[in-house]
Amino acid sequence: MPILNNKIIEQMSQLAYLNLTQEEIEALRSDLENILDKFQALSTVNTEGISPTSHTSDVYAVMREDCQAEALELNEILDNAPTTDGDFIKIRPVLD
Amino acid sequence: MAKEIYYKTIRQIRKLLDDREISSTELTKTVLNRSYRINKDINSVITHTEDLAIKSAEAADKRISEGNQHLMTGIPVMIKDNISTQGIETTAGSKILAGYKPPFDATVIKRLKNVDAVICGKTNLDEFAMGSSTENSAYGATRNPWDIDKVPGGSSGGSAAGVAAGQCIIALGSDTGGSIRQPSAFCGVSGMKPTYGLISRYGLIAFGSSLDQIGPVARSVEDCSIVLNTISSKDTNDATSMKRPFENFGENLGEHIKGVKIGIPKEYLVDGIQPSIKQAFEKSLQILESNGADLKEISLPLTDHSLSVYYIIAPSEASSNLARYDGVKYGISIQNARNSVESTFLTRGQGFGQEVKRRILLGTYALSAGYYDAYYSKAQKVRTLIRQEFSAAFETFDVLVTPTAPTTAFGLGTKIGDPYEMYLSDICTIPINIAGLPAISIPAGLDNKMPIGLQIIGPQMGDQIVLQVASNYEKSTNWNQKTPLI
Repeated sequence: MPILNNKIIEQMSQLAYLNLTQEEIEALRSDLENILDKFQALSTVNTEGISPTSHTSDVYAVMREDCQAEALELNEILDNAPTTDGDFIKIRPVLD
Repeated sequence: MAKEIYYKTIRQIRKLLDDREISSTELTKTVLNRSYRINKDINSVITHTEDLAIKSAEAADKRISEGNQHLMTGIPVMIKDNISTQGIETTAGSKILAGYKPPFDATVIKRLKNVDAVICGKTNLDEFAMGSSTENSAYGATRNPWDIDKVPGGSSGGSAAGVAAGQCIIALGSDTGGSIRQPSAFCGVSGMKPTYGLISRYGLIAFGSSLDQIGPVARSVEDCSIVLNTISSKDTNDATSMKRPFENFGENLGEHIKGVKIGIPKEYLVDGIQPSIKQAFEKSLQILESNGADLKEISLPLTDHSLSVYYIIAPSEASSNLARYDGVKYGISIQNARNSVESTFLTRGQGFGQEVKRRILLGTYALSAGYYDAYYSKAQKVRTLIRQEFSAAFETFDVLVTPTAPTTAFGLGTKIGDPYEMYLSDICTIPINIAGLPAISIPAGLDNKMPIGLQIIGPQMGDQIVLQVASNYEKSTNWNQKTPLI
């Protein structure tokens, strides 16, 4: 059984930029422990010398013409942004 | 035919439109009225797009009067709400995208608009297509039109329930691990996931990019093929898209299946399968056999590992894909924060639901240093073996046939508390996405008034034979003509 503690869940939530409450951390730890336990059986499959599959369509390194294409409408993009300043998207300060 | 117009197929409606027995505008209004009324009971539609629909219907009527219509011109369709529609709110069933109006159309939407199909609404789904019951939506659960105390399946539950209840003639869904086929089975409609790469994913809000595929939910196998012919294209905006190696998905519809070799993978008749599903499946096999197919049991021993492979790869890809939701560019944003990073933490904490958080953490864990080899890398290698196992099977067989799901639709709230139990409801559909194969679910029985689905799986690019076998079966039964009493 994989050992998960609240600290690992907190570390993962930091990596994923995900704010979690204490109750959520507890619940997620128990759910993930249960799920990861079921995954253990994978280790019994012999994969020596087998290459990984990252996708199934037989196309690789697709190139396209380097040419001008239509851009999206600036206004439609800005209309979606929660906060704007003129033609810019405004965010909270990056430094404290 | 006495059947109400909103329960007809594309082919039947095409004739009515072309013979001017009804206009697309009249049809669209009838379907929208039906949809508004039904939606109060089953919540299958998040947004009705009435203005767009009426405008499109008028354009369709003009096109029909000019005589240059396409099979889908003037046909009312609905779109899963994780497919981008320009200027129309697209939520992916998540609070984090509330209010987001994409500045562009997905490629499949462009193709539907090109033929003047009539987009009537955006359908409900599990948040970011993560779920098997459409209970994980921030916009409320969808209910099954056959029994509103049961789930419609998921994640394309809104699309399947909408087609089943006559809220549209066809719908688009997306399928990452069964999200078109399992709800189609639960709602008694036909739903197909084509070969990975045949439909552009441009504008589909990404979940598991190597597994995601858009496809149709419809009332007949022929309707599935008509939609696929309309939306399939090679698209420079999706580098994994491919030109289909055949012209017409439905080329072989109506042809016999004498001598077609059908494999029955025994691992799909899992422990705990509902007895009525097994009985309906055996009956389906008898029909295929009496139609001349050559049936034989086979073994695909890696099937048991598919669920683990999927629930490592899909959340890993999701944890990366969902990194873009930072509260800066669109959707909700928690501004009451000291700095930008804190704002992102809080926005994501409040904007994502529990299942999405669970999968982001699972994926982050599987990709993180120290666990990568044991989980992600291992799963990708087993994925190779699963593909090889299917390839070997298709050296002998033309198609494989299985039940679509081990149960009929389950009660609302009965599995939501146990994530792994919920994951098990996709046990028969997940292996197909892992291998990128085409597969369809078609209606194949009723148990206590709840629909049962039959899944037909083909080799890569074998979409035509899947549709041929499905259509042959459909013509021997009348399961696809059953409608719910709603």
